[in-house]
Amino acid sequence: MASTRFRLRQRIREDAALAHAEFRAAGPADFPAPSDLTSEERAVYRAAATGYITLFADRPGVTLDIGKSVPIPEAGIEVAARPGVFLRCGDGNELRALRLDGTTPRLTDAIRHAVALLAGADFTPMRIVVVDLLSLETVTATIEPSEVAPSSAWVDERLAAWRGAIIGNAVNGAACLQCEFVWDCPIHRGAR
Amino acid sequence: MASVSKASSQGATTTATGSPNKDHGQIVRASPTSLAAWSWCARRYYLRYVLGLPESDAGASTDEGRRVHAILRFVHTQGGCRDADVVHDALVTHNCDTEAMRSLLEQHRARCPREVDDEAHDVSRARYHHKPPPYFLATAELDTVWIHDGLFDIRDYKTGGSAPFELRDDVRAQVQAWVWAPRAAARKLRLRLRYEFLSPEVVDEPDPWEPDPDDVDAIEEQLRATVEDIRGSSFVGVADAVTCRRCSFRSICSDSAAPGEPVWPVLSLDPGA
Repeated sequence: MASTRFRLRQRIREDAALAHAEFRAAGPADFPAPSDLTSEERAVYRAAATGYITLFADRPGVTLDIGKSVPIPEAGIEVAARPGVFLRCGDGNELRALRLDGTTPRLTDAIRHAVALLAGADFTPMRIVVVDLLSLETVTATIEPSEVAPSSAWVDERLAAWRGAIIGNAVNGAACLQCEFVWDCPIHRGAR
Repeated sequence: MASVSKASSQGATTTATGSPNKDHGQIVRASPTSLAAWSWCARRYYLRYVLGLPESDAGASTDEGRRVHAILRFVHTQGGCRDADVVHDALVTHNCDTEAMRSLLEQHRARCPREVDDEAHDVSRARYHHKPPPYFLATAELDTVWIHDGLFDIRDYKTGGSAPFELRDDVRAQVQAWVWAPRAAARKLRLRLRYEFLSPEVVDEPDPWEPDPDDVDAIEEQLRATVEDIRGSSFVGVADAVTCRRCSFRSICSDSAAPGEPVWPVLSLDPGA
């Protein structure tokens, strides 16, 4: 199952995107209290919405129509990603990657490359803001047009690692906890 | 065979409707900490491990513990805890050459085997239970595995907290033993589990535990029963003020007997406010 944290993050992101259908900042009315959640989930949603409104109160923006995937024809694959809310703000384009961990957020290579590939030459430079809506901490960076090509090379490298993992031996470890294929995995089949 | 006490199943009430069971996948995922959370409070388990919510209340900092673990890993991969130069390098590298840290290392050194045939540090393994249902997969991370004297000697470092009376009664130890038992058996070694309480204040460290195959079978049945309780639970909290005061969800938990203010910022979202 997707954790509630993930689903709450999706809801906050969708509510924020809807708020930015026109050029403005989001306000309390853009985050209606969900009725289909437990009281604990609602508390997290309220805190996250508060965080979004507080952090971006003075940064109005309007959503950008940027696709959720980009084809890599030479590799025969399509890279899909939904890193956050893409906006056009007063001082340029911005990606808001929202987190609900209550910790210091991290800007990973995967986010940088995903944003470079999705935004491409048309929408870069793109300012990335990775924000934890509970701790109110942010990490920012700017993706320049020159980073789009290196991101394609990163995809090639990751694709090779992925294909290598397919033909390699299964690894028993902590990652099994999140794995969806335990049922038929060679290293766990002995229990059946 | 030695007995294994039954884990708590508090809050494990079954409901015909409205059960959060749909939130579990076909295979329940378990770990020493998740089952310890279950023993603590069913609601806490639900909020943390089923819903995956972030904690609303700050707990004790784990920085010190992480640092100790990092230093012990460093010294054992660089030459061993009895090499004074290695220990000095580790303390300097981690910027914590203090009396307190040296005392913790001294506590460890007194427990560390002198001669080993093999070793591993910071290792995790998973084990899957299929029949009889319910299915579950448990993982257990260890700080160290020592192979010596016919033993598969698995260790967990503890830098705080109170020691359990007997490891066999500690659900975390039970999960670790069950997950790692096949590894010991494959090497025809006796499994031994030890918690190293490194704080000098803890004077009642539990004895090492050597579960035999019957113990391991009993643990598996106990874990299976616990998972069955979890799957049938409506996750009602313990609602006890003493317990709740130490819970990291006390401010948002619907069953909290010690409510407070979350560490998160919250303003009114009422447009009319």
